[in-house]
Parts: sequence; structure tokens; C-alpha cells
Amino acid sequence: MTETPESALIERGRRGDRQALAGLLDRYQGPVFNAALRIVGNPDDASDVTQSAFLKAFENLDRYDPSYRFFSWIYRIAVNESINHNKRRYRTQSLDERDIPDHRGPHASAERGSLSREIRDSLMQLDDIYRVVVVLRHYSEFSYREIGEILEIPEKTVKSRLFTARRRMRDVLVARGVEL
Amino acid sequence: MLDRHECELISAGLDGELAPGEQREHDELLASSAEARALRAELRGVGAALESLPEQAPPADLAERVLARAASRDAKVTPLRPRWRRAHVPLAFAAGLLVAVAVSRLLPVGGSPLEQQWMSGTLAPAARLPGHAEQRIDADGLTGSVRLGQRGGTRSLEFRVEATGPVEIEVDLNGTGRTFGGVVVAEDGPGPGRIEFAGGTVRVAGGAGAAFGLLLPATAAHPDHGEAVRVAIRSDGRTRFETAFGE
Repeated sequence: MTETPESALIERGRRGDRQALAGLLDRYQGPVFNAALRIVGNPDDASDVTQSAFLKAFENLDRYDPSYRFFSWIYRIAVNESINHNKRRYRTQSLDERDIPDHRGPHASAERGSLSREIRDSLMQLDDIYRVVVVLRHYSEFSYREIGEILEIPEKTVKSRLFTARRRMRDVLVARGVEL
Repeated sequence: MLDRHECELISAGLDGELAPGEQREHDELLASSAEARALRAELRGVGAALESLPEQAPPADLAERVLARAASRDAKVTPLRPRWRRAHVPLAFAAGLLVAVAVSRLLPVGGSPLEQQWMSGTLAPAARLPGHAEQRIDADGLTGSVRLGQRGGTRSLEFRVEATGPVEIEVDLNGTGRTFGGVVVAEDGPGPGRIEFAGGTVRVAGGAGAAFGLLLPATAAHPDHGEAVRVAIRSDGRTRFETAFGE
């Protein structure tokens, strides 16, 4: 069966066609949810962020510029929602809770769970501006140009932030006893 | 010691994001510097670690939730008839206000004693109407209409109610006790303060007209497929009106 073109789904979605909106959700809810999950750190919050991102996208379908990929557009909304979510959360969380680096070494690391858990926790130790570029590059495979468009920053800033993010990730992972 | 530019060059090289001139510089750096090669290996390890995280499936009901919310935000109701508007709707609410009131998605089976009484069949069976017929409400102190409709692709019950006193509206789908997922107040309705949702019952204040839609959950019985959507309107402890939509 031929897949409905994305442009047709968007056009029908603009007119409130539920099936078209469901089609867009079907295509993108997985990657958007996973990107949000990497940025906000837990599935419940990622679900809320994903829901909010799609609602905003559907409300603003008339403003979508088809010269950009829809995928990039919905990601931009989701990333902004995720960052705003984290800002709200950080306002209610003490600095003590989130800023203590973990230097407990390999034994503590092994006790606390799997390698995946260590990587997820390490990622959450990055500042949002670094975590977001890592997510867009490593989990969504956007180019530097696309990341720049999504975050509205120059490509050279993407390049610089990615290097900083990777180096910080390395430091955190090594401190947690993860061998690279 | 590698400088910042060289470090970023190596990082970007891993992503295949080098311009032609940069590619040559990158290759020469790697060929001549053990430190550069070590950094490249480290950064590659970080990337591999990151990409080893498994993807997670979104919640199974996420899409349905988004569509239901989108429908409630989209919702618009046919304007009230001029006679109705002239007689009963305050001008303050005629300025294009659209209020969507999100409420709990589905009623739990069981519910309040009032709901249980109604769902247990203490009322006389109602005649079923064709799926999209409009049923006029004409009882003592209570007039208006109810019909099945659509809001942004979601089935809804569209009410226009004019009552001299407060009324309670209950909706039941095929006796399941599972009812509507939201209340939508029309743009020229009486405002959210005049319609309340509590315990699965919509309460409409008396003395003015109210036009609103109740969203029906997609998971519930479908009135077009031989299943009933039952509506009962009560006031002063008495059933003033009841009907069912179905085949």
C-alpha cells in the first residue's frame, strides 16, 4: 500500500482531518518522544512534552513553512517544550540536588545499575544547551545545518557545543567508571 | 597540545561535517599527532556509548490523548439560534470566546450513587433515534435540543439547553458507565462558570441558555454501529428528559 505523502497529511491536517493528524502522529511520535525523553530524563515528562509539542504543532499547522522538513519543525517545537519543561523543573529543584558530580567510581557504578543507566544519568548531567545538541546529533541524526535551524544558532556554534558536550560526557562517564 | 580549533575539527570529522579545506587539515592533524588520534578515539567512544541507548516506545495511548485534546481545542459549535441568543445569552460572552474545559477522560465503572442509580436501569427504556438526528428537549422548565456531532474528528453530543433552574446532564455509552472525555463550551455559551463537570455529571446553572458539546471517547461504543448513547437530564431530583441515540 502506498504511504500518504507527508505534504498531503499536513494539508488535510490543516483542515482538522483527524486521520491526517493521526498519520503525522504515527510517523513522528516515536522519534519526538525519544528526543524528549533524552532531554527531560523520564518517560512521564517526555510523554507530557510530546503531547504538548504535537498540540502546538497541530494548532499552528497554518504557519508551517514547507521549505523546511516537517520533521525539523516538530523537533524544534519539541526541543523548546523540553527545555522549558526543564527550566520549570529546575526552578523547583535545589541546586544541591542536581549539581553534585558523581565520583563514586566503578564499584558504585556497578551497584547502581546497567551501562544504559549510567549513560542516561551522565547525559542528564550535561547542561541543556549541550544535551540538546547531543540528542539532535546522536539520536536524531540531524546535520549541523539542521541542528542550527532547529536551535536557531550558527553552525559553528553547533560544532563548538558538540565538542564541549562530548568532552563533558567523557569526563562524567569516566568518573562513573564507564570504560570508553 | 591541541588547541580548541583542532579539537573541534576532530569532533566535526567524526560527524562528516568538514568542508573540503578542513578535511585536508583534519587528515594531516591525525597523521601527525598521537594526541589528535587519542582524542578522536575518545570522542568516538562517547558517541558509541550514547548511541548504545535503546529507543523506548511512547505510551500506547499517547496519540489518542493528543487527538482528543486537539479535538477539544478545535471545537466550535454552531451558533445559537437568534431567538435563543437574544433572549438568554449575555452579551459579555458573545465576543468570540472559546473555552475548552478539560476534565477527567473517562468515568470509572461505578461512580456516584446518582450515576449508579441511573445506570442500573431504574429509568424507563428510551426510544433510540437515528445516529445523527436532533432530539428536541421540551419539558416543564426545560427546552432545547441534543444531537450527535463531530468536533475535529471526535464524536460529540451537542447540547442546547435552556432551563429555569439548575439541571444535571448524564451520558452513558451502552450501559458501560464510560462516558464523555471533555466538556466544550460554545463561543456564545454562558461561560465556564455556568457549566460545571463533577463526578461524571454536567451541571448547568439555570436562568440562561447554554450551548456546549460533550466529547465522546473513541474507545467507547459507537452509536452508528448499533450501540446506544443515552442521555438523561434531571432537575430537582426528577428526570425531565431522556433519550438514546443508536441504530
